[in-house]
Amino acid sequence: MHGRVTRCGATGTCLLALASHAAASEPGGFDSQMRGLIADVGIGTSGVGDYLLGELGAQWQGLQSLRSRRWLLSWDLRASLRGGYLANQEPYLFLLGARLASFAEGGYRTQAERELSPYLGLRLANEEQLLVHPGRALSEYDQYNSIDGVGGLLLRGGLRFDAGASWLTEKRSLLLLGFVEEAFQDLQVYTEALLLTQLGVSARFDLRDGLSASLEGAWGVSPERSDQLRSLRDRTYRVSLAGQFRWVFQHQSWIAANVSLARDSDHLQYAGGRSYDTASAPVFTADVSYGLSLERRAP
Amino acid sequence: MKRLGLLALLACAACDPQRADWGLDAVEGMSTPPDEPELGCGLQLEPAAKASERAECSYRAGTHAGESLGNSAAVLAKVPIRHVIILMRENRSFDHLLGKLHERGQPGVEAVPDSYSNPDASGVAVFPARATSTCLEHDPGHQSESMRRCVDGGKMDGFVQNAAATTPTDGHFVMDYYDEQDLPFYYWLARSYAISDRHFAPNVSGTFANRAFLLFATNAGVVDTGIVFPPPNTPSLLQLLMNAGFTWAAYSDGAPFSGSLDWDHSFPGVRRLQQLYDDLDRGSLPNVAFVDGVEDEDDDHPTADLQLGEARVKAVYEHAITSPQWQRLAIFWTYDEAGAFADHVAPPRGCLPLPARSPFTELGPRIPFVAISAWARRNYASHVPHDHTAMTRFIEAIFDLPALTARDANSDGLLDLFDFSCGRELSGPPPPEVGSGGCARLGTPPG
Repeated sequence: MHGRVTRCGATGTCLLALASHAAASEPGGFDSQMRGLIADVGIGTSGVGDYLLGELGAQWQGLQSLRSRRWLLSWDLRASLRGGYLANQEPYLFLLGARLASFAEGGYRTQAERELSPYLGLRLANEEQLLVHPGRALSEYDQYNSIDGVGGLLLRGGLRFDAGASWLTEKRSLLLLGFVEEAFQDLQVYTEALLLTQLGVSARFDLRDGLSASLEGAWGVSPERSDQLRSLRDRTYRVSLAGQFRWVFQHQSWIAANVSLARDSDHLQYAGGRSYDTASAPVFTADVSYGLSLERRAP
Repeated sequence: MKRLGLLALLACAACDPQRADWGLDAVEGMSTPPDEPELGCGLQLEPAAKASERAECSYRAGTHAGESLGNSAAVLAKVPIRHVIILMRENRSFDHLLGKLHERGQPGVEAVPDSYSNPDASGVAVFPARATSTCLEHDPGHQSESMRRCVDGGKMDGFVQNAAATTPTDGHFVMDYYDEQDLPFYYWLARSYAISDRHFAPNVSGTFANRAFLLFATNAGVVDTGIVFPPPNTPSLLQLLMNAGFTWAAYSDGAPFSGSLDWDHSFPGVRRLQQLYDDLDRGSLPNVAFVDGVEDEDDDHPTADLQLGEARVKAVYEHAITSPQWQRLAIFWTYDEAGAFADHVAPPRGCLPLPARSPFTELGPRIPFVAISAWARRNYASHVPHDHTAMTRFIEAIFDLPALTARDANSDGLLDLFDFSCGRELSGPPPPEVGSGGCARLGTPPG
C-alpha cells in the first residue's frame, strides 16, 4: 500500500523534470509562475474535531504553455512545516510536523493555433503529512481520541484524466474541464484505506502573473468493501466542492485563499437484512496564505 | 430575496450540517413484534457452558449466542423476555454506591476489605468513610489518563491522588460510600434482585468510550469524552435489532445516550421519559429501551443529587411492575463507568474487539449492575466477570442476533442472573421510599 503511494509521491520528481522545460517562456505563450516562501494559517472541521493549523514553507506554482501553446503544463509543489491544535479532546492536542503536497498536470490542446481549443489532460497528485504530538510515539496514537484525517501519518494520492476546453492567450488562460479521478487515502489509526473513483467538473482562470481562481466540484464512490464476519457490505460516497483564489501583487508577493467542503456518506447493506445510508459530519477547511517571491522580475 | 434568504437559513438549520446522519430513520416506521403468548416458565439454561472458550476469547464477530453461550438458538428463543430496558446511570463505582451492601441483606457480594485504603497526596492512608451528602460538589477527573492513575496497574490506589489533582479538594471524598439510610431504594433493589459484583466498565476511561461498547462492542475511535463521536457507519446493536425486525427507542429528557452519539430529540427513535412511563403502562414498549437521565440533574453524575436519581429509577420500576409487559421484561440498572470513585477490585482484561479497530482490552473499575425482572433471581449475587457488552450479548441472545465484535461474542450474556423455572413468584415486590434530605448533611433532618 505504501509502495503505491510512494510512486504517487514521485510527483515532486516529475516537477523537477518539468522545471527544465518550464524555465524559459515561449514567445507569445502563457507563463505564470510563483516561487517563494509561504506562511499559511487554516481552520477546519473534521470527523475528529475542529483544528487550527499553521504552515511555514516553500511553494512553487505555475501554469505555462509549451511548443506553440500545444501543451499546457500546470503544477503546484508545496513543502512546509505544519503545526497547531486539534480539538479532538480537552485539552486540545498540539500537533507538529511536516507536509508535502503537490500536483502536476500535462495538458494537450488539440487545436493549438486557436485561442479556444479542446483540451485533454493528465494529472498526478499526492499529499504526505506527518503530524505528531511531541513526546508520543506513533504507535501510541490509538490511546487518544481518533486523529484520523488530521494527525498522524496521512498519505493521499490521485490520478486524474481531464477533458474540456482551454481558452489561452498570452495574458489569460481559462480551463473548463470535466474529470475522472482515482483517489487513494491510506490506512489510518481507525480508518480503513479508501479508494475513490471521482467524477467532477472544474473551472480555472489565470491572468499572467496576476489573479488565479479555480472552482471544482466532484462526486466519488468507493469499491464495495465486504465485512465477512458481520455479513456486511459497505460503500463510501463523497461529494466535495473546493475553491482557490490567488492574487499576485506588483512586487511579486502573493496572497491566496483556499476553501473546501466535503461530506462522506456510506451505504451499509447487511446480508439478509436492511440497508442503512449514513453520512458523516461535513468536513470544511479554509486557509489563507501569504507568499513572498524569491525572485524579482523587471517591471 | 428576504424570503429566499429565510428559506436558505431554515434549510441549513434543518440539515444541521455539523451533525452526522445515522441512517436509522426506518425505526420510526417499525412495529414491535407482538409478544408470543406461549412463552413461559420451565426453560433450563446452562450459564456456565462454554465459559472456558469465552475466557480464551475464542469467538469472533458474527458468532450467534447459540454457539458461544452453549445454549442452542432454539433454547434461547424460549426465553420469555422480549423487552429490555437499560437504565444506564452515570459515574459511580460499586464500593462508592453500595459499599455496605454486604452487611445490608446481600452477604453474597464481596465486602470492602478493612485494609483497603488509598494514600493521599501526603502519603496518609485514606480509608472508606460514610458520605455526608448525596450532592457532591466536585467531579473527579475520570477520562483515560485519570482512570489509569486510579487503577494504577491493578493496585486500585490512585483514586484519592487523582481526585486531589483534578478537583480543588484533598481528594478524600472519592473514598466515601453511601449506606442504606442514604439510598434506601437503591440498596433495596440491589439486594432484592440479581446483582453482579463483577461488572466492570468496558474501558478505562469516561462516558463516551464506555457507552460506545454497549452499542458497538468497541470504543470506535473514542477514548475520552467530549468532542469525538463514533463514525455513523460503525456497525451497531441498533442496526442488528432493526435487521431482525426488532425495535428500539432512546428515552431521555436530556441528551440521548448521555450525549455520547451527539444526538438530540430530532433524531429517529428518541423519546421523552414520560413516553417510557406511557409505553410501560400501555404495554407498548419497544424491544429495547435505552433510558438516560438529565446531565448533572437526575442521572447520578456528580454534582446531581443521588436521591433525585433514585426517585427516577424508582418511578421506572413502579411503572414496570404494573405494566402488562412485566413478565416479558428485563431491566438492567447500571452505571456507564465508575467516575473515578474508589473501588477495591482490580479489573480483569476483556477480549480485543476485532474486527473493529480498537487497542483496548483493559476494563475499568467495577460499577453497580442489577438485573430486575420477573425472571431475575431474587436476592442473588453473581460473580461472573463481564462488562457492558454482556448486556449487548443478552439482547443478541434473546433476539438471535450475531455478535458485533469479539468483545460481545465472548461475553457471558448474563444468563446466570435469571431463573426461568416454574412455580416461582413473578410479581414485582413493592419498593420502599427513596431517601430524602440528602443534599443536607446525611443523617440529619432536611433543613
